[in-house]
Formats: sequence, C-alpha cells, structure tokens
Amino acid sequence: MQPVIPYLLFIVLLPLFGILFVAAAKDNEKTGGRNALKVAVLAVIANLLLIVRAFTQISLEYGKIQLVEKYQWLDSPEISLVFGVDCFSLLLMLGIHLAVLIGLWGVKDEAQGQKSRMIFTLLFLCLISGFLTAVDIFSFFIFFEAMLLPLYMLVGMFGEVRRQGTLFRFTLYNLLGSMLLFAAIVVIYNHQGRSIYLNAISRVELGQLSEVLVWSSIFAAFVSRIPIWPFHYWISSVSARIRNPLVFIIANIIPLTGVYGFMRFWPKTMPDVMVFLVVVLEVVSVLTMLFIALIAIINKDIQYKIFSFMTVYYIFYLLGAFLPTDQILLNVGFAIFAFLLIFAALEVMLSYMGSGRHPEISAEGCLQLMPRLSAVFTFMVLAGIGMPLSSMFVNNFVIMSGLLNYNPVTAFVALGALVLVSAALLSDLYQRKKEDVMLREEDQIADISAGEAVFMWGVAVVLVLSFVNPLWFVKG
Amino acid sequence: MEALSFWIPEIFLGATLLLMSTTAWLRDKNTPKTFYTIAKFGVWAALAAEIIWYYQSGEAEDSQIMLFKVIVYLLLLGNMYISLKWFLGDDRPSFRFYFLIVLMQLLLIATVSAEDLLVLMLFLQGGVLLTYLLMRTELDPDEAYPEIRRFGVIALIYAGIGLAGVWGLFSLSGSFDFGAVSAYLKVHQQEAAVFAACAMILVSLLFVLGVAPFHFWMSGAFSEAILPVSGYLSIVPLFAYYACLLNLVSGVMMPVYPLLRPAIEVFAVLSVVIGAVGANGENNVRRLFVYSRIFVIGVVLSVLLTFSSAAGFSGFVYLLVSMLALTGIYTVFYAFKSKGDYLSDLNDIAGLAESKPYLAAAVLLFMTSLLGFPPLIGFLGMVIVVNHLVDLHSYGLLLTVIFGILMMASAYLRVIKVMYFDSKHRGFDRVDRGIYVILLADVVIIVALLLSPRELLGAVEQMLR
Repeated sequence: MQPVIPYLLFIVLLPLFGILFVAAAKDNEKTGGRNALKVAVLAVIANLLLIVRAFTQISLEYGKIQLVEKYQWLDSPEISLVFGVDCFSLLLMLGIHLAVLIGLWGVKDEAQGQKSRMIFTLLFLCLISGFLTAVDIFSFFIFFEAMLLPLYMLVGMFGEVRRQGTLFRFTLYNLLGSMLLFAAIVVIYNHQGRSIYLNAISRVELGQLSEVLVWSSIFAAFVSRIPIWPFHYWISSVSARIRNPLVFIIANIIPLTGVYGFMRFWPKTMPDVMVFLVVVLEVVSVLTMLFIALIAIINKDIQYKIFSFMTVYYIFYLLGAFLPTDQILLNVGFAIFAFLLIFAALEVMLSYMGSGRHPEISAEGCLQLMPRLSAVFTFMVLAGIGMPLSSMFVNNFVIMSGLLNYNPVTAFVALGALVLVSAALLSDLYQRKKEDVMLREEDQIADISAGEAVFMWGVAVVLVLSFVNPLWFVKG
Repeated sequence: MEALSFWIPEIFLGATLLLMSTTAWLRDKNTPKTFYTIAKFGVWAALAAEIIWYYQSGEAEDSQIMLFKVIVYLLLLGNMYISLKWFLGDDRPSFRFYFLIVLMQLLLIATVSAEDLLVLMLFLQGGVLLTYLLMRTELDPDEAYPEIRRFGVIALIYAGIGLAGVWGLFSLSGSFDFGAVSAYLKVHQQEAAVFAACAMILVSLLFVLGVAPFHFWMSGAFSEAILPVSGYLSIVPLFAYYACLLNLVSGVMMPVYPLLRPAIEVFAVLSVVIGAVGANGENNVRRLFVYSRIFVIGVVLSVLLTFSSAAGFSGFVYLLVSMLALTGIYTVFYAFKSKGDYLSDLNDIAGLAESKPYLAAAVLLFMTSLLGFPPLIGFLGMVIVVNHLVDLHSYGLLLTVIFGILMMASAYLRVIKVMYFDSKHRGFDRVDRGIYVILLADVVIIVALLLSPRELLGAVEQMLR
C-alpha cells in the first residue's frame, strides 16, 4: 500500500525542483553566484527536514524496508521505480545531505561557475537520494549509473583535474562497472520474470555458471566504486587531486555507493561459488588499507592524506558489512553518518589553508598560526581517529570487536592501518620539520572568521550529539 | 473509388512536386521559404490522407507499415522546418532540396508498402539515385567532392547487385510477388542459387542502411554534403529502410534466413565495433555522429537477428529513441555557427557551455540518451535491447554491445570535455529562435516518453505484432 504522503518521492524530486529555480536565478557579476547558492542551500535544508520527518515515520531497524512507494514505468519488460527506506539508508541520506551542506559552505565565496556547480550538485543529491531509497534491482541500477554524470561534470568543470586522461579512464571504469551490474540485473530479471527487491537477490537460484557470472559482475560493479587494489589508481588519481571542497566531498561519496551496494546485495548465506570472492576481497581490502595508510604517512599532500583517511575507513566499513549480523550493519550506519560529517568538515577547513584561502603557503605547520581553525580542526581529526567525540567511537569499537571475533589477523591489520592513517592526518599540520618550509609568525595568515568558526563548531555539536545518541534528532 | 483513395497520399505528393516545379518555372521572385511552404502543405496533406484512409478502410493496411509511414512523414516535416534555417541564412535557393526530399518521400512510402520484389528494388535504387543528387545539392560545381563521387560509383555497383539478385529470384521462382517468392523459397531453400540471390538483395539493402562493412561511403559523403542533406539522410530514410528489411526478411526470405543469419550477425558486430571505434577517431563532430549512427544500426541489427515480432519491436524502440536523440544533435549543428560559418571541427565548439549553456545542455542530454544512460529515454531502448539479448542467451552480442557503449561513451565524454571543460576561443553567432523551438519540442517528446512510455509502447507493440 502506498503511504499517504510520498515522502521518498518528494525527497528524490525536491533537488530537481531546486535545479529549476537555480537555473532561473539571476547570476551575474553583481550577485557573484550567491542567488544560485542560496537556492541550493534552501533545497538541501528542505530535503533535510523531509528526511528527518521520514525518520519519525519508521521503526529504527536495519533491513526493515518501510514507506514503500511504487511507480510503474514499463509493462514489458515490467519495470517500476520502487522506493523504500530503513533506518540505515535514511541515516546515510541524512549524512550525505549534511556533508553536501558543509561543502556548500566551503564554496560560498566562489563566484565563477556557481550556477553550474549548484545545478550538478543538486542533480547529484537527487540521484544519490534515489539510489539510497531504491529497493528493487532496476531502480537501484538506474540511480547507481545515473549519478556518474553529475560526478563527471563536477569533477571535470571544477575539480581542476580535467586536463588529465585519468578523469576519462575513471569515468569509463565506473561505467564499465555499471554496465556489468546492468547485465547481471537483466539476467536476474529474466530468470525471475520480474524485477525483485534487493533483499531477495540472495534467494534467487541460478545455474552454477550463471551464478558465478552474475555474482562476479555484481562484485566487479561495486568494487569499481571503491579504491581497492589493483583498481585504486584511477580513483585515487582523480579524487585526491580535486581542489574544490564541494566537489571533493561529492567525489568521495562515490565509494560509499560501492560499500552500500555490497551491504544491500551481498547474501548473508553465501553461495559456495562466492566464498572465494569474499576471501579475495578480504585479503585485498586489508592490504589496500595498509598500503594506502603507509602512503599517507609518506605523502606530503594534505589532500591525499584526507583521501587516504576516507579510503581506509570506507574499506573498514566494507569489512564490517560482511560481518554476519544486522546489528553491526546498523553500527556501520551510525559510524558512517559521523564519518561523512567529519571528512566534509575537514575538507572545507583544508580549503581555508594551503590550496584555498592561502594559495601562497604550504599547509605544513600553518595551524600554529590559525588558532580558531586549529581548535576545530583538531576536534575533527580527533573525532575522526575514533576519540569519544562522535558516534564513530562506539560504533567503530563494535565493528572492530566483530572483526576480532571473525578474523583476528584481519582485525589487527585493519587496526594498524587506521592508526597509521590517523597519525598521517595529525602529523604534518603541527610538526615543524624543515626550517625552509616552516611558517613564521610574521607570515600573517588570516584565521577563519567568527561566523565560519561558529558553523564548524555547529558541526562539532552535531557530532557530539551523535556520540550521546546516534538518533538524537528522532528521539529528542 | 477505394483503389483511388489508396493512392491519395501519393497523388498529393505528386501534386506538390508539380506545383513546386511550376512555381520555380513561372515565378522569378522565389525565396527559400516558397518551396518550404509548398512542400510543407503537400506533406501534411499526404500524411492526413494516409491516416484518414487507414481508419476509413477499417485499418485494412498493415498497421506496421502505417506506423513506419507516419514516423517517416513526421521526421520529414521536422527536417524540412529545420533545414529552412540553413537556406534562409545565406538566402540560398531551396527548390532542388525540397523537390528532391518530397520525391524521396514518395519513393520511401512506396518502398515501405511494396509487396513486389521488382517494385521494392526499383524504388530502393531510385532512392539511392536521389540520395546522390541530394548530396550534390548546393555544392560548388567546380569542386570535385571525391567522397560523393565515390558514393555514386559504389551505389551503382550495389544497385546492380540488388537488381541481379531480384532477377535471379524471378528467373528461379517465376514471380516478383512476395508471397509467390516466399512459397518458392520454402521448397528450394537449400539451393545455392537461391541463397546467392537472397544474399545479393540483402546486401544492397544493407548498403543503403549503412551497415558495416558497407558503410565506408557514409562518413565522408555525409560530411561533404550540406548540413540539411546530411541531417535528412542520417535520420529520415532510416525508418523506411528498416521497415523494408523487416518486410523482406520476415515476409519473403525467412525460409533461407537461417543460412544468412551468421553473416548478419557478423555485420551487426562489425557495425557496433566500427561505429564505436570510428567515433573515437573523429575530430569532426558531424562525422562522429555518422559513426554513432552506424553504431545504432549495429545494435538494431544485433537485436533483429531472429526477425521475430519481439525482435522487430525491440529494434524499433531502440531505433526510435536513438533517432530522437540524433535529431536533437543535428538540430544543434544548425546552431554551431561562428561569423556565418557552420562549425564542424570538435575544437571549434570548445567552451560552448560558457556562451550557449542551453545548447550545450541539449547536446549533453541527447548524448547521454544515446548512450542509454538512465533515467533518460535512451535507457528505455537499452533495457529493451539488453533484455532481448539476454532472453535469447546471446551473451557474445551482449558483451559486444557493452564494449561498444563504453567506446561510444569515451567519444561522447570527449565532446563533453571540449564543450564544458575547455575554454572558448571563438564567439558563436546568435541562435535562431526556431532552433530552440525544435530542440524544446524534441526535449518535450523525450521527457513525455520518459515519464509515460507505457501507453505509447503498448500501442507500438500492438501495431508491430
């Protein structure tokens, strides 16, 4: 039965309406793109309110799909858009919207191309919302693939990596993953004679060869979104080089779609043929975590360190996704919510440093001269490495315990990688290493304004609240 | 009386041609709009007559044929309107162009309804002759245009092959009639002479469709011709030729088709690969989209392999959604203008998004639709194609199509990069409002189809079956 108010349809469509208003907004030298920005912020906030409202309509469990809405699209083949949510997908949606809102704050002073940036950002929000609410295989695929377009446009237009062939290869590589998923979905559809819900895929009994092909395609499709060795290069070479905070945040939400895909598709009771793939994924995952964490220690580029931080955590949550209980999956959701906010805030603050407000300086040691920024940045980094300042603390702990029970070796390597990447993030910003690149007191670096500090501390408050109660906004 | 009413659309078109000739002969002060206006009224009248006769005769005519006719008429009308912009731009004479495309329309609808092999082949080759004449429209008579000349020579050879095939079948079966020839083929399907004759007819049809490896004339000839001609030839006749292929194989050659199928399969794969690879090697946007068209034909042929009604439907839907997008792309070509010159080099449109954001957005929309990107209407075509291939367990073809899409994506990403990411190094002329109107109409059709494809596809499926 359709719900009386189609919240999910509204959540998906609202950014699209925002696009219409942004396109119509007056955007010239005088307005400096502020109109487009305001409309976009308004659309995001409105959607946030809708998401919070949707939270109040559901019971807070993992995997219990609620608020199901169905919109028939085609009769033959029978394809419908089916939306539905559980606590987990709503949490991710909320986290992504908040992260994008923080990203919008980061580009508020950029006038050039603001209209296009807002249009593609809202398009991305529309598609990622659709992706997180999709509950049947065709709806899932539609949004899984479609979000590549705004991503390509945003990175290409504003990411400053456009002159490199890597962006091409990155997009094609992701597209290949999508096409594999599409083929797998059509095979499942043909086998069943109808589209099915994501949680029913594991019950589909295919022939052995079909099973191997279908699950391998699904596996490859989701791995293509996560920077896991040996496919990490294209993703890291694009994501780590993006200099625009909003675009960086959006580009680095993409690996989350791979993790989410694994969580939704992967069966708890594995077909025999798939056990091998999971072992491969586990080994490759921990090695990648370690490898990326070590590079983060060596690499001087702070952007790369943030990227490494994110990647290591994504892979950690991916490992958590394969643990066999739904309770841990909900913990993964709580942790990712805080994680999204932390990395978005860190990225925006980075834009105030080296590559953003002070292009003439290296980021190394600059926090010593920016007390306001330093305080909030330190808070975020400490929250990020798992200090008891956000919901990452307890939930990472629970996931790690689950991993220890499951496979101690994996857990210890993962833990090592998390420590290393945290150390990498902390080290350079405070450490005085070389006199010639060290910043001096007389460099006169402007700190963030009081308003910017308030905004960032606001994000910190949300994180602390999530530590006290991950669903504080629902239960008051 | 009923027999006469059957010919009314053709009579209207004939009268239009007569009126155009008379006007050109008697009246000195003709503008490009004069012949457009005459052609427009003639074509509308013919279309109305087709529809009225179809319903008045109790839908006596094959609904599939009717569907293709209506599509060809509508595409022609759209093409005529947009072409006028080109002729008006430099005040060029339009008589030859409009006369030839109305005449071509006459031949195309006759080809679609043909139930006689000789009639079919004669009209088909008449269409090829008109194609050649169209290609020479408004070109500098002192220049050589080697690609068009090459097309003329090759077309002559393929016409000979096609006619020889028809003659061969006639000498074997003693009839040109579809039914009689089909009955003969059922009995003598294993004979080498029968196979050879059918293959010759099919090859000549594949040549006009531009299927690889018979495509080599296409990109050069289409890019040498003026924009209205290449736009028209890329899109409008395609549906008529597609209908011909369906009629010919499912209505006549089905008994020998199993022997021909492997060759068609190879041609389909070749078209997908050559279309996709060729598009990546092009810096001329018009040539790039000619390769795109070859790719589309390849995908359609891959789907059509069984020539069942389901295959016909799947191929038709993919062709329709692709041609809607290609129509949009060709419309945008009319706006690629700088200081009065039409631009065709990819680098010339660098930074288009800066000064013409709506045009760039339209190209982006049409290209992503061509790629079958969800949730655009191209996705509908892609779903139907992939579903059909999986249904047939044609996994090899499925992989080829996926590879082709990735290659096409690479070519389109390059176009997007140039339009959106590169800086502009030339100004663009003001865009005619009519171009925006056509683009808007195209977008509206795409969105309408996207939002509610069920009713339309249901009707189409019923007509094709």
